[in-house]
Amino acid sequence: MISYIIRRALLAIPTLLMVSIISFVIIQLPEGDYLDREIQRLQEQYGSDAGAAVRVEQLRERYGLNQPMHVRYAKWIWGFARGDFGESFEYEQEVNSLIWDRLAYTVMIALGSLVFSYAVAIPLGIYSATHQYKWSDHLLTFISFVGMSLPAFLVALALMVFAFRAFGVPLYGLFSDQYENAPWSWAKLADLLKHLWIPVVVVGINGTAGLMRIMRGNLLDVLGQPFIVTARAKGLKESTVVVKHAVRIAINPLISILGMSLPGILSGAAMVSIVLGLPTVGPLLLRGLLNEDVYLAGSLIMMFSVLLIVGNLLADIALAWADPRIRYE
Amino acid sequence: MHRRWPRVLIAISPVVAIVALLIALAGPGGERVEDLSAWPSGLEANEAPMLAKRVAEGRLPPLSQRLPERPLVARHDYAGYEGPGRYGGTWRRFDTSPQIASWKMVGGYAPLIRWRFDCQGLEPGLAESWEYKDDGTALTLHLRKGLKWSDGHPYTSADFAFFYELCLRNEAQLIPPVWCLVGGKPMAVETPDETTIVMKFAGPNWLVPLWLATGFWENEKYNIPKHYMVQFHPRYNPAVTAGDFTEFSRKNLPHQNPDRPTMWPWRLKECRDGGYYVLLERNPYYYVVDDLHRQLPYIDRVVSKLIPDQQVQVLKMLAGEIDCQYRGIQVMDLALFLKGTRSGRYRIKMWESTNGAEPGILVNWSAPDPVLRGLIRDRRFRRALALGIDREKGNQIAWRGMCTPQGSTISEESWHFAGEEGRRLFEEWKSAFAEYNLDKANTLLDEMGLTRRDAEGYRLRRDGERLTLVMDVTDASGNRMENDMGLIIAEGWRRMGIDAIIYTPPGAERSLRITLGKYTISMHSQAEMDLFTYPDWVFPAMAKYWHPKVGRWYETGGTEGDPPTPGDPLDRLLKIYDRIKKEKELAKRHELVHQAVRIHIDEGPFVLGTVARSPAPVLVGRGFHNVPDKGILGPWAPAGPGSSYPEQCWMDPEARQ
Repeated sequence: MISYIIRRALLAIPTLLMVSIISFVIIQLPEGDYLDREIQRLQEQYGSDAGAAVRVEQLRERYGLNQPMHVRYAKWIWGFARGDFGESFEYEQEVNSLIWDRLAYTVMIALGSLVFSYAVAIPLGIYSATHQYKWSDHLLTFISFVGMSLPAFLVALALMVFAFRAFGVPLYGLFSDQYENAPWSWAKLADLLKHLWIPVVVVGINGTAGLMRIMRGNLLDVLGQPFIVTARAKGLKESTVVVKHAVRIAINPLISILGMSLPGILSGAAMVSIVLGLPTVGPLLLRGLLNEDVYLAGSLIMMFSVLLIVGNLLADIALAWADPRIRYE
Repeated sequence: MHRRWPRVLIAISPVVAIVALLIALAGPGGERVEDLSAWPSGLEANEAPMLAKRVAEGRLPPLSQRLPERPLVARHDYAGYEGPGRYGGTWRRFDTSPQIASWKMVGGYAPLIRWRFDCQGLEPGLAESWEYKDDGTALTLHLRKGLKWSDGHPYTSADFAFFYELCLRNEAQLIPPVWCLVGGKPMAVETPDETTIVMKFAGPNWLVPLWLATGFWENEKYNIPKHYMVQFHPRYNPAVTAGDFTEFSRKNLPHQNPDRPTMWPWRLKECRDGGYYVLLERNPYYYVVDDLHRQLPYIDRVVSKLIPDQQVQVLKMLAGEIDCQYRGIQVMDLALFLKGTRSGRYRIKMWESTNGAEPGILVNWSAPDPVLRGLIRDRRFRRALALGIDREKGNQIAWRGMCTPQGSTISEESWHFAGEEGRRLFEEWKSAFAEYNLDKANTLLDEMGLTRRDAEGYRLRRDGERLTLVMDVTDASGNRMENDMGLIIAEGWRRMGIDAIIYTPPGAERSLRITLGKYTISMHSQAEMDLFTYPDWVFPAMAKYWHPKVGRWYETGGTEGDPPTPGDPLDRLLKIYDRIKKEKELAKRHELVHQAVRIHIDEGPFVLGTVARSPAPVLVGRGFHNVPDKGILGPWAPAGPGSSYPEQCWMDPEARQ
């Protein structure tokens, strides 16, 4: 098991290198660099004087934007490995000082959504399977199809409009105004939780619907198998048959899906954060990409990739732990 | 059967449990607020309670020692001024960039000399007075005595000298500003005493006061707190690596470094998450007072959040969570906002963008294709193009009828057109070739000999190729109105037998194509108050807009770009601009602008007009006072709304959060 984990971790390194090269190049594919965009912005706002061009040349030198791309890449990735992510042009700060809080909130929302979707999908999937083709199953099926087909950002927007119409408050950010600037306290934590459930639910909805369908399908498969018939023939209670015998087998695919659903949840969290104005990495990444703020956007993509790889690894370990058949292969 | 419902409940119980737990966890509570009830905040108070308390506790010198000898008295000769206000409150607003640029337009205006709010001239700022030597080669500024930075350290001529020294030595990305150069030679700065700055130029240089008054970015450059910044400067602090200005540049950012003293009405207190949360607090040493000699600003704090998503901005404003917002409302959402005023949470004051073309259609004088270049330099061709623009349709479709169709101009409110003669000239400029008349357009094209057509009915150029114009259009996600306008214009031109092809390069590339002169037709929204400092819409003085190549030639002193042909309109315009820079009399300078506009009417249009003058709505929250009813929120250079002294705004106690 340990050698398996080590092998997986080592495999992650070339993957990350590939990701970093591709994202670094793609971010900078459009003509011009960050400073060209900056000049454009300045011009549109207040015109620019002749000095701007000279100043920009000096900034370009300071940011190293006048060096060839591979030199910049080598510098950045070497720094990245040592924890120095470079400087964000737009925020005029070290990338390091910008992203950690936001990553924490991102992980919080992603984990919350995972827990939410599993906590909701499994019981509902079981219920749906054990009540196949009854009206309640049809209802749940209908709801889950609606849930699967609604993009998260749309749900978020609709929720915002609804909350505004109904209560007159915009759902925005992760804190109420009075806590925004306050030091951490229990009250602030409570305030955070009060805001957090909205993105958690919104991001989780798509996944939940899909998982529910999978849970239902698997359980139906398993329920038709001979050992279930045997269990029933033994005279076990129906609840024991379903929960102890059938669900244990039927739940395995859900665990391996855990790893696969991470990308969806992370990108869902990014989009919902942009709509709801949450202080996660989503809005930062979007602006970074639009502005060719290359070290910021590149570092964020790398962090996302690391999260995905670690998440996948954990999911695989969890599956091995839950299913002995995989462990002994 | 009777057990079915409970089972459903059991199945969804985890959801209910999680949600209920989260909601239950939420409890009351909040930040502790300083108790200031012992200090008056009404008209009897000369300073804010929070400062009075600190004075009483001995943590701050008394007001008389904090104000300059003769403080600047804020002007309020505008409709909408309600009177001196109470101290206190927090002004909530939002921004769209981490540089809080739109806030600096409001509360970042602390120049030596100020633009008047009506944009018709200048008035004193940090400098009490200024005078030129008769030949225009020297400008002397007299600072107010006793000005102080927000940390209490005196603001003196040494600060300006420090800034200029940085420029001359080319340190921290600073170079001598364009306005101090005469014939490429930078000025010399002398500071005979603490309150006198003397600038000596290599020749007559009459426009400097205008430059000093421009926007927030000029005064942000020259207002450098020497006493604080020297600790990061390698020549002053041996601990700093020689030649390394990284830390210096970073510490010099007024929107990021709360420790850096400022002359702003509100100083930066906190900047978190890379600018997503910005807190500003009153500057206890602010040098501006009201009529009753009470220190400004009235409002204690400003909270500015970075909200990138437009829909969220809209929601926050509709919900009354924004106390006052300039430049925040998209014109297309106006109906929604007006409807929202029924809630009583806010009012809308209609300011003017004063834009002269939204967008102006740029026709590249030095288009890359030689045949097209020849056509474009024939004024009949440009006139035909202008006549082929259905402005009324553009107004109705792209702008929902909120603009006025007209030829392309700079801002109507510009001081160049204030007089009777100026008005007449402007009217003529704005109506020149502003009609939609395909017959006339076709006649002009036929006259030029573009009569041969191909099988599809498009006109053929002299070299036998189809007459094709590639038009760079803003992409719809960047600016929907400009995109719509592009489509409408292309339609008109096709009906004239010109094959108009729409091209939507991504943002930066579009502007690069303009600057480098690679485009044939492009677009840019057009507005300007003062052509002396920002001449480019009328005079080809920089690599921009309709004249990138000639502008490049002019701004580089002839080393790059294309020179104008002697005697052609561009050459004449540049000669006029050279004369403006050397002209002492303001009235004569305006007259020279009139001559230039005359060239635009007779030889133009160089930029094709579409529609103009979109409204610029300002949102004013309930209980928020002293916001002018009318104003100009278009071009940034004349510094509106900062020039209206927004530090005079105040809030009802019950409106405060």
